Amino acid sequence: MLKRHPLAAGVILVLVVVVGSVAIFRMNGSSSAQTVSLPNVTGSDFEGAHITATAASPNDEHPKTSSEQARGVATSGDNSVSVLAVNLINLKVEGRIPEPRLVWAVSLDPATAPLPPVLGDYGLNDTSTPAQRIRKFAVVFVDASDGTFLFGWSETAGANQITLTR
Amino acid sequence: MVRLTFAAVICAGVAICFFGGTRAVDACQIVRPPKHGNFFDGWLRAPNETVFETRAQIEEYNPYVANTYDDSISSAWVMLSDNHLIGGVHHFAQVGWWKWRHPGQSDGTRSLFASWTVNNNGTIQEIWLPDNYGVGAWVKYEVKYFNDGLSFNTYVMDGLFWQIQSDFVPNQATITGEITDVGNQMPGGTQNHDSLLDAFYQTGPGVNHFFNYPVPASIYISPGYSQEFASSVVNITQIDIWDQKCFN
Repeated sequence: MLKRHPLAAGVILVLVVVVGSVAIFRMNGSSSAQTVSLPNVTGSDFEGAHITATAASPNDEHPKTSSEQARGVATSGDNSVSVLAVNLINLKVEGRIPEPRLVWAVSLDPATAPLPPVLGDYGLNDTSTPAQRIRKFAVVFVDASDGTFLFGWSETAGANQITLTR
Repeated sequence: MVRLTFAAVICAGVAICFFGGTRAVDACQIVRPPKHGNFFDGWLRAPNETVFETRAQIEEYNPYVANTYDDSISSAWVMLSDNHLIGGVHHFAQVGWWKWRHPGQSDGTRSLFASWTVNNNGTIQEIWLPDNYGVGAWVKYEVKYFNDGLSFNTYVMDGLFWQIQSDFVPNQATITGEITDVGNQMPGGTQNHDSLLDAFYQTGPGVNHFFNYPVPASIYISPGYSQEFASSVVNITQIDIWDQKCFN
């Protein structure tokens, strides 16, 4: 018959408490992942583009690329482009990237970054002048595992507002 | 001997076609003074009712893009929009391809993109990704509206491209080429048009309409540029566009 050690109950109790605490901590950590704040990007911007960006946690795998590499990809190596912030995030895009993906989010200064144009409908038959277009934000997402460019995302205020002259 | 000669001629012809000839989608340097802006060459349907979807297969052309401006592109896309010019604001959601070149680049970068208006104040958001289809591919682009004044989906080759929340009820469908510098080539040349195939729009779930039948679509060419850019209806579902200053 196995003889019960006088300290066994205490050890088991401590183990249960420690394991339980770790489990609760991890559950809390994953359920309340901190939404990342990117320069000039609002919560409704994220919502409207169906993008979720949460801060990477110590439990995530480590990125296989550096923030400097991501910066180089985002700026195409152009040193004249200002970078406002580089965040390591877990990225989800509804319907496109369903599982969190470790990504560098590189926020560019729209005033210095070459950005694609604003396209769209400006009222073909109006003799009109586009209002001043002000780039609000430009973010380039770079895969943290291999440094590939995933996608760019930008917002331009006043882009499609015109002053009617007809 | 005759057989061999004939075979040699065939082989030479094939070789020229594949290796020596001008490909239909090759860039063609345009001689036109630069001018910054938004210039269109395509077709519009405005059926005076809600439009739920528009789509077309668009050839991935390789137009010449000047590097005068840092946001210089040549593009082709499909779009849902409205014609309610409220407070000087238009609204739209679109998806397509562009070739973008900026100073310092020897050639442009091709991307797939989606662009849409938000907040009902003229603000636009854009998403762009690498275009892996490549020059010469026929790619199906589609925009769908979900009848709530807000929700749109964009699709590329029937796969979900991007879900977006915009700010309008669409009543127009447009399929067009667009350049942002007059010095760029509109997709297509006089000999080798860029074709927009299987062009449809929907005015209700499953209620499909040919883009050009029974009523022909309206020409959507920037005023003052009908001598530069051209469009033609090939048949009820095919529209061609081209740059008249490109003779390829």
